[in-house]
Amino acid sequence: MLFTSGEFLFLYLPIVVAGFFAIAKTMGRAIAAGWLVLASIVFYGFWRPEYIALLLVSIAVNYVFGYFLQRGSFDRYISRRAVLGFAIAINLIVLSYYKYANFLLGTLDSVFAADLPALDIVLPIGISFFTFTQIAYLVDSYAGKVQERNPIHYALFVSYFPHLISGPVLHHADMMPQFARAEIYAPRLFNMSIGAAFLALGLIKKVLLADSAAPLANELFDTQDPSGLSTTLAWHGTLAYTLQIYFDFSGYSDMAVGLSLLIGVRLPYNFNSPYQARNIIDFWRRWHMTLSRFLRDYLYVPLGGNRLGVGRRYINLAVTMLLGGLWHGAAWTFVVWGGLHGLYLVVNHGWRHAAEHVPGYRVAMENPILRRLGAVAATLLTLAAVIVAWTFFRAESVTHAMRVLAAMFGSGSSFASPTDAGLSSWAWIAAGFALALFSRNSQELIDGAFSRKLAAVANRDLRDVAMAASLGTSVVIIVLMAFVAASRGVTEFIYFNF
Amino acid sequence: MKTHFAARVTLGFAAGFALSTLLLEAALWLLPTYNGVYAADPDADWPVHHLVPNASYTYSTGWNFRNVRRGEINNMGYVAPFDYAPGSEATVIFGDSYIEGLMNRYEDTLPAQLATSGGADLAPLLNFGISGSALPDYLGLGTLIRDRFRPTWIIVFIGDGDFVEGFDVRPGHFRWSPDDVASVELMPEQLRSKLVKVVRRSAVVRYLRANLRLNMHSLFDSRPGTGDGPEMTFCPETHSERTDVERAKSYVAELPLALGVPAGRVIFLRDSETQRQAIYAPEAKRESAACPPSRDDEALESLLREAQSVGIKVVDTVPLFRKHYEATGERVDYSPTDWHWNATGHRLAADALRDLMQPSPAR
Repeated sequence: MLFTSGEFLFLYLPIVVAGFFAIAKTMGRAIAAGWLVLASIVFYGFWRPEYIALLLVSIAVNYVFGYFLQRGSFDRYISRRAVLGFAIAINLIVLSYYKYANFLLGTLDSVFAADLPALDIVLPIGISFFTFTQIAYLVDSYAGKVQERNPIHYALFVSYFPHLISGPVLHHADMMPQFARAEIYAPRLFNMSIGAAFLALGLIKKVLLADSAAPLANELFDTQDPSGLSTTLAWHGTLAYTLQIYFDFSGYSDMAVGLSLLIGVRLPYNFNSPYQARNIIDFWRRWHMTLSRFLRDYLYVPLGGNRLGVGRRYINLAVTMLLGGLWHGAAWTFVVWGGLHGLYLVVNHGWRHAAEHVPGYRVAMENPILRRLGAVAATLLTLAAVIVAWTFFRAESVTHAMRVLAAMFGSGSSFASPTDAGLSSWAWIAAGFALALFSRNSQELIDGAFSRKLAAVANRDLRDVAMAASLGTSVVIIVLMAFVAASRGVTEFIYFNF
Repeated sequence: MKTHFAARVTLGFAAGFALSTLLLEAALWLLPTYNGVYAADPDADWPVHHLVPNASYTYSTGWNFRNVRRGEINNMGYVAPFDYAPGSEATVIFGDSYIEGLMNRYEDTLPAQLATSGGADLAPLLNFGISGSALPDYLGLGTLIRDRFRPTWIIVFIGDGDFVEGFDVRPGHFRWSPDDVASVELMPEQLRSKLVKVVRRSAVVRYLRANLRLNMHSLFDSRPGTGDGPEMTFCPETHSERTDVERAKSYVAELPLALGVPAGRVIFLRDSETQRQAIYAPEAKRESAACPPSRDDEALESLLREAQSVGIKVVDTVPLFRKHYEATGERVDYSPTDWHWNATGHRLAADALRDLMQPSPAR
């Protein structure tokens, strides 16, 4: 089910939210939590009911493994480490089968010309997300960090509909204790007001911005023969995709945060104005923040992190980003994308280290004008590096991406206007980048300025009216965005594919 | 206390909702939202569906107001920047939204281009194109037009669906008579209440209905393709009725009589959106080829065959459009967002008609 669709916004969501609070009030919190699990399963199976079983089995098996890892009462028969390894292996085998089997077969086929037939596999939506969240749970169960063990809360943590399909990548320690709190089981006007505002802003990002950028990007990346690309079209399409993926995914994340807040549950933020980053290290602290955190805690650190020397640190960074790239999709384009970001990070860390030894660097950075110029240059350089990498992320093949890049950087056939829209589409791209580079982000706008203004209303009665009025405004925007989305046809979120 | 809380929330919500809606209404009034195209009230003098006369309109499409056009609706409620003078000679053009032509500047439409280049021989071109019209409308309108004007040439635009849509019941439109293959019957135009008239002028309502073309199907069906096979091709109804051929025969005989012109002065202008899609994307042709000919396809084919047998001229636009696209790469419509003809499409059609309408030495 799409967050932007009428069936979700006008049927599913009101029924689920109202049902949750009504059940909590009349039948108790445990049944209300169960209701949310049931609703999440319905949400998941709406398009492909056949994968509900996979999700349920995955939840059950991982909960059982987690339970044994937490108790550790079988130590005399088998080591806990072996159980952890076995449980993680099962998760990775299932993920590999669905996500990477055809990639592997295709690679073998192209290397050895083995003429291997592709398997008839359809990727279950969200499998990467629910696999990773559960691996983290297993690792933390082994490490003795899991505090909340309620099986309903565990099932809800994994299947919770706002995040199930495209994240954020949740951590059990953030989520499961929230499901145990009594406060979330009664409606709160403040949460509703803020949640609806996040939902409205996320819809605007997706429906108005991302979906408008999509055709401009598709015009470039869906070209069957990229050999005759013009320089203009190559830049036009790549810049459009840079905007599309940002507004698409950050819009989805805003909606997830907002939907969850309607129920009173806080999800972690996933974006923090990533295109305003001044270096790649900063970029990864701002882009898909929950995945970055996961990769750091459950891959980079276990690999040794920065504890084993500079050389090993760089290797760990590169390996982490390569696997992070592969997590996104089973294709060499994603491997190259991850590899590029790994390289960027290595260069960034290397530069930081080297800059300290460049004569005059510190002095220059104390000059406010030079510092500001340096910041602008650093932001632009970071953005350029990110844009180059997005080319691989979006292209159908590495060859296609290389041709797009070649057209962008000199071998383009001409500077002809890319579309009939011409100037207007360039103006749109400029406006999109102005928003991404200079405006405040969703959490700053809603959880910061807007929340503070609501909280600053001293009179409690007036505050209630203000919050309800804001809810009314958000509802108008949400309804309008749903209508606009319907008029534009079905457009999935990019991260549904991962 | 709880009652007070509920009252505060209700009041606040209603105020926020109402104020935002008003702001939206104001913004859409300022923006080029679709406007001015309203169905006229029932009129005994001209009982068919037409627009509120003597008005200006704004056309735009999509959420972001693409293709903004402004124009005039004349004294009879049709899109034209001049009034139709009763009793005058007229070249009459029938059709649906293609001929109504809201999405083009008037001077780019077929009637205007034909009028400009048709020479002094051509009587003033009267555009009776109305969105939603189908074949029975033109037969029904024929008598009304003959009573008011002196037709010299008749041009009938025929698009996909124009035969089967003739069975639909739509206020102010003619439909095929269920009992008599030789006649059509008028469904009375509906009288809209004052409330409806006020509501339909709301910018928000116009935006939702006309710009977004809001409907329940698109709002509540977001299920994407399965992605593991070819997309399902929608095949229209294929079951033809025996009476379809009889209706076609009768139609081509009756239409010239209704308008009081010889068959040789009637031109059928056949266009097909489906076939035009195949011009741009050959794979669409393969997909449509997977469907058997629809009832509409077969009926229209019969109609054109019968038309030629009685001397009615037929212009098929698809070969013209294909030739133009292959030579220039220029599309003849606003596809893929809108399949209506653009100025080029109208010009090519006008050129083809002009060739057929040249005065012959015998005349």
